Amino acid sequence: MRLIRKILVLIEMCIFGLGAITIGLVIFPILALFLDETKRRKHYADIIHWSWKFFIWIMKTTKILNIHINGNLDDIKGKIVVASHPSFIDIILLIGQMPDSLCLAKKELLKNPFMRNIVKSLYIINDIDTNTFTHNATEALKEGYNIIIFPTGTRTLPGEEIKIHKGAAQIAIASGINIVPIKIETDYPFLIKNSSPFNAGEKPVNYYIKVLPEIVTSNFDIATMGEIKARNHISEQIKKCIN
Amino acid sequence: MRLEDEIKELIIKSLELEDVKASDIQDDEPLFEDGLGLDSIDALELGMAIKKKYNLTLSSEKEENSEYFYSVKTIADLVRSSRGE
Repeated sequence: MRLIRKILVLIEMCIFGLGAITIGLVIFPILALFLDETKRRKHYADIIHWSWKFFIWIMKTTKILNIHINGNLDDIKGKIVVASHPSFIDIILLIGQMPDSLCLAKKELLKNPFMRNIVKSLYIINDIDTNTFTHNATEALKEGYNIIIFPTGTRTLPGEEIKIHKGAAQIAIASGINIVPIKIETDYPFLIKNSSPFNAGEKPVNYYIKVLPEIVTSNFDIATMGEIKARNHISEQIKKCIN
Repeated sequence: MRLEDEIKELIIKSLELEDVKASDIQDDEPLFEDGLGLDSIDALELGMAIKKKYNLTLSSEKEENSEYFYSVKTIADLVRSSRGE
């Protein structure tokens, strides 16, 4: 069973990689010929949503994983979504479940040949230029997109003390929009940081996705405490939710 | 007061780190990621505070700045060299 799972996970990762390359290098550039810039994002986001939904369906059908969702992901619109990040496929899970969602991507992803073109055409790069990414994120939120952020910046290992990057709080303060924390957990470590995809376990891995109560940005008296302190307090709140 | 301690106070004050004391920060501990856990947004804030306090001109080259801002010690060295010490 273990060997079959290993092979399946490997095949599925290849499907994902090939799919990502095809979308980034073929489908997006062809669409770009026909769509002007303002319309591209919606179509690109739809394509990624449906193809990642399909990918997760493959993983479920082949019994690699089960998904248990507590809360309603479909209802989340135009929100800043912060999530815990235990495994490689967390973003695929979330974007596959939530239409019209973009994500804040670390700039290292631009070096990843599979993801580069998708990230470049669709997502917001967490570049060091804070003003630009805050502005881009705020614009996308106003258009009704969710911005998904993993505030730990990278995958965290089980039991690791998490550190929260302040980008999510920064965007909340700039836009006034609320934050929806989502806790993602698995019943055993699966596709974790620094592990090989060959560690696929013996039985289907259970993903527990829990939508937590919103962090209401207007509850923080930003005018009085100042932006820096507000950013720290909101980040602290995020940490409590997803830790 | 040692320049290093002055910089620690400046970091705490400018970033409003309520739970951190100057004595918690080591001179050569990395300020970002693994060490104190500051991020790029803090870096921007801290850069402005240091520029203002010590009248430094920082280049816009990100890589270079992140070297200077690696730890309290590297910031202190930068301030000293700008004073011609």
